[in-house]
Amino acid sequence: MRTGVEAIFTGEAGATTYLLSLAAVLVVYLCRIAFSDHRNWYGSFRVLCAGFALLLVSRSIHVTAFYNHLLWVPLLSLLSGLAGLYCLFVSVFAQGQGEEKSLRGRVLLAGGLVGAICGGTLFLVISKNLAAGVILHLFIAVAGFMPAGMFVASLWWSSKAPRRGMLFTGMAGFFLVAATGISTFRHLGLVGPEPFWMQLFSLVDLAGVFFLLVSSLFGPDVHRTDRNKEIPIRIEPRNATVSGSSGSYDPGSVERMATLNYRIASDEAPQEIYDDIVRYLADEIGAEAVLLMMARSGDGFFKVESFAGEMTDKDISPSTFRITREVFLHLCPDEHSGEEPFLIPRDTTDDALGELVPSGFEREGKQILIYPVAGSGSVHGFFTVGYFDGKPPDTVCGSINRYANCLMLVVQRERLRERLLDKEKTLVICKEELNSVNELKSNFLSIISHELRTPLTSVKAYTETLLDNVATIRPETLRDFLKVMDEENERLIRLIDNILNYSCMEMGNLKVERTSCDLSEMIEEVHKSLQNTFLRGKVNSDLRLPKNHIMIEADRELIRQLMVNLMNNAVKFTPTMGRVTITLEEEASAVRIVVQDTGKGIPEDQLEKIFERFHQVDTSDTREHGGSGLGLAICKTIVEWHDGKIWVENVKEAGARFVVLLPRKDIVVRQAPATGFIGSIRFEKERYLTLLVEMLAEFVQARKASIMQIDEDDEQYLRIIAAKGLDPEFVQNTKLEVGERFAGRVAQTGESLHVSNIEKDVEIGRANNTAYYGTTSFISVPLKDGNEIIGVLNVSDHVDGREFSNADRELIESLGVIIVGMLKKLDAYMKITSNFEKLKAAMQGILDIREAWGSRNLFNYTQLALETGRKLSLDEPSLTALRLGMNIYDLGMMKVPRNIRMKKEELDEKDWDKLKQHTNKGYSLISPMGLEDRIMRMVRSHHENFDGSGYPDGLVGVEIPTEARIVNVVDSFRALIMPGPYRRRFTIEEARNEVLRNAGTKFDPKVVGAFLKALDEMKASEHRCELVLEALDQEYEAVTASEQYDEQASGEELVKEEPV
Amino acid sequence: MTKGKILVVDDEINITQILEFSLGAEGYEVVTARNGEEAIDKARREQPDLIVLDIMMPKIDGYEACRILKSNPLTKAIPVVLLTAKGRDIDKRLGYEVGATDYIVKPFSPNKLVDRIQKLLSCTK
Repeated sequence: MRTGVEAIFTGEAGATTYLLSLAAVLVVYLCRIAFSDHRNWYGSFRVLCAGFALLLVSRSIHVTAFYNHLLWVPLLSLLSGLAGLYCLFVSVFAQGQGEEKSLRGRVLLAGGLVGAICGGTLFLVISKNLAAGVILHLFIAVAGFMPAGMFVASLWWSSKAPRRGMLFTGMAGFFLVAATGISTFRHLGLVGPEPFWMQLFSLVDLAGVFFLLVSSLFGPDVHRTDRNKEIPIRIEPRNATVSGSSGSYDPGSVERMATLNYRIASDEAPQEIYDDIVRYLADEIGAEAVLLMMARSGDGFFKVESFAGEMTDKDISPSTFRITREVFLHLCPDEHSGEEPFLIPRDTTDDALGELVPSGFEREGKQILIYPVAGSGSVHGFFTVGYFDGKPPDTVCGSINRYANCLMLVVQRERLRERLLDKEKTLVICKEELNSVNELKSNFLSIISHELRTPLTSVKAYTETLLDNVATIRPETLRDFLKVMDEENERLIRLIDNILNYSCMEMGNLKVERTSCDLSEMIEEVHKSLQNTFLRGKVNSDLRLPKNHIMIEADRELIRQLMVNLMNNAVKFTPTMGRVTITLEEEASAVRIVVQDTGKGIPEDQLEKIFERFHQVDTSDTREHGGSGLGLAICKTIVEWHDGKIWVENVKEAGARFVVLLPRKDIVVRQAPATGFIGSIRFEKERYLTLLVEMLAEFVQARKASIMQIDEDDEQYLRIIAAKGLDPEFVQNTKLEVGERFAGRVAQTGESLHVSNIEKDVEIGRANNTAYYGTTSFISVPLKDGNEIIGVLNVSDHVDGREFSNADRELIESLGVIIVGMLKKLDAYMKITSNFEKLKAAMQGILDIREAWGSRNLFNYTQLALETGRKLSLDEPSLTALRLGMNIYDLGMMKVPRNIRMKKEELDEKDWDKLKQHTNKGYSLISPMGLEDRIMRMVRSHHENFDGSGYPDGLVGVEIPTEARIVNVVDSFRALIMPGPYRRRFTIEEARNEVLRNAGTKFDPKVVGAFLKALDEMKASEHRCELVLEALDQEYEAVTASEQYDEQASGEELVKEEPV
Repeated sequence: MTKGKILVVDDEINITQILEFSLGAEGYEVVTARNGEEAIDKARREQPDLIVLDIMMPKIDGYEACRILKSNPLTKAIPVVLLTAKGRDIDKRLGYEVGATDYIVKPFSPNKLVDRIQKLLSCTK
């Protein structure tokens, strides 16, 4: 009989219990992993696996014993059991020791041994050797006790073992293995079949499952760390002394603390405080040696800060000892924070741990405490305290903690001080800058006041004198005086203009408005306006302009001011009888303006400074030359706004030479040949291309940039569709064969070309590359639409003159993708728009033809054609198509030049050819309308003859659509009864006979038959006939009228072709 | 017979010209100089009754010229009127320190200048 307990564990109920317990263990573990601030879920998972495996083993053997299952069941479970055991070992060892790394090797070795032995015995089990089976199960039993044994050992070994959790795990292992053993022995018949063994098994198994559950709740690894609490310390809680043994405070300690705090507050040097802290600490806890390591310099090293006690090896000074932060954190048991104190075991065999203390610090058989000084998430240093025989008492840890807190205060104080010093430094720098600005300002003010006062003085003095002597003054003197006043006024205005302009420029209030202007003309103008200045200064001037006029895109007013300033400046510094030469030259991509004087030049160290605002070479009272010091600064700003360059150089003989380089070209968009698009579309496209190029150039700060596209008409060529910094003519006319030059090569290979310095690039070389004149660095990137290369992007000439980098290339490559997308969109847009335009033309054509024929006539002929169609029993869609087709079939005729259409004499070969074009023209004209195919063919084929003699395709018989055959007959009939330009008008009867005569040759006889019937019917019906005749008469009149009109018009009108 | 000889020193021709006119109209004989060097030279040779001296001038500035004039026994007694755009108090004080008799700030009124000169000359005479 089975007892109640036994019932729970055997049979189907047993299986349920079993599964439930497994599920419970699993759920508990998963919950803990999910919700806890765990540290090592992998380790806990291993414990879990071990427990599972053990359960599996015991259960399966047990089940086998009762139900006599096949051998493979216990075999499988055995295998998993062994794996589980191994895992349990590993985890017990690793977690229990707290020094996982050094012991991991040993654990793996042990696991490997067990695995090997078990593997050997497994063979014996398969061979049903009873003795072998016994040995195997003994092994399992022994192995099962090992976790418990290891746990005990780990308690001895390490002070950090989580006792409670380990105990539960160990117990679980023990009971589960014991249960396995019992069931095995029973299975093998080594113990009797009495119910006692079954009950024992059940109890032991129950205990195993219970402890597995408990260990899953409180087991190792999955312990919570609460970061808000004091740093957890496994040896002692840090605040143990404070809460537990406040009575142990010795009054000396309190006094020392107070002193230290006072000293920290009173800004004493940290070194002295550190020394005392170490001394006090050693004294207070009675330590033989205390070493303080701190990371102060920010180089990541902990260095010896202070030491108290004696070293066993006196030869090695602790002052040379240091350890990096990384190594320290690595060696700490809690690798993540390094904030927990730990003991170095007495027999440290691990070399790495030896790195924590300087050699000579260790003492045989003693342990050393490492106590980190940590705060605000990082470790600033640590105490190394010797020596202990085991874990240090709480009081000691409390003391160390207090001193560590003290140290943190110092650290924080020092950090604040550093921050303050930084701020102070910044302040000093700011102050210096401010001072120099101030100096510049007062300098400027004194100069400006002098410059303002001088002309004012003259004006004032002269005006007053004039007023006083208004009655007596002689006219010549009057004129002289007024002239002086006028000149001084001018000077004043100029000065004020300069100041205002400059302040505007500084504030960014001035806008550059680029217009196309003739630079040669402007310079000439300025030169002329400054004639007086030259004369007054007794300076000769020389203007050298190129023969052709130079146009640039620039702000007219600004360039004018630039020239005025430069020339004034030159005159000012040129001695009497000197010479100022102004030269204008044209360069590949820039315009060069040179203003050269014969003054004494500029001191070498001032060559750049003179372009600074308010700068004057001579600011003393004895300076010979006035001026606000703004003129050249304004020049520089103006030139820079035009993306140019200005510099000054001294001329060997005498004088200074100011050189201005202005880039001549900006963005150019190639004009496609006239396509008849309306202006606004062109404009749109240009705007987009302009933006694209600007974007391209702007992204990499290139002076020159271009977008090339494979030519639509000839795919062998690349064309520049838009460019910045290139000559407009160049852009318009350049056609580059694919494979030719750099861009062509890029288009051919599909790979980017990046030359950072063309002078240095051996492969490229300057020689074969005249197009890149003035260029040192460039990038060409292919534009790819999928695998198809559709164009090339080029950039060259960095604005700063530097080389393009790989990053620039990558940027352009990614920009290329965007540009391809934009170009495609743009093309699609253009296509749609152009289709729309064509559609409009087609509609216009249809309206034109109605107008030319008269809508009434059209209606009649359409009726005729429809009637013919009906006689031929065409279906309804065909009739509808015929109705529409009759309205438009001849619209190509409107595109035939009028002089051919209306020619009086016989048409010659050429004219005929042109006339025959009209079917094709009409066909292409209506093609964008997307009409039904049979209508399209009606337009195209209405001049195809039945015998194949027609045009344009020379179709024969039934190849010609029926509708087109009908149209052919009706159209011919219409042509016959209409007065032709060069032959007489047929009567209806004559026309009828003519049609009949051509049946079988020109016309389809069947269609002719139907047509004649329809015509006769129409004539028979009085009403209709009248209509037709009336219509014909009207047509006749209309044509005669237009003939007369044409005659009146002079010959030239006839020559003039209608626009196509 | 002139009322006196006056040396006018300024690098601005306009100033010397207008003073020449104004003082000339009042019956003074006017000698001009363009800079400090010339002024010292002319003062020694011409022995004017009064010197009107600008400060900001090329080569030797007005202060320096005045000091030199005052240190030379030949020109020491000639009153110097500084006529300058430098109008700050410190400039004025410096002017008196180097021995100027009067200090007039530009822009000035020629009439008042003439008045001052007349007064100064009548005092010294």
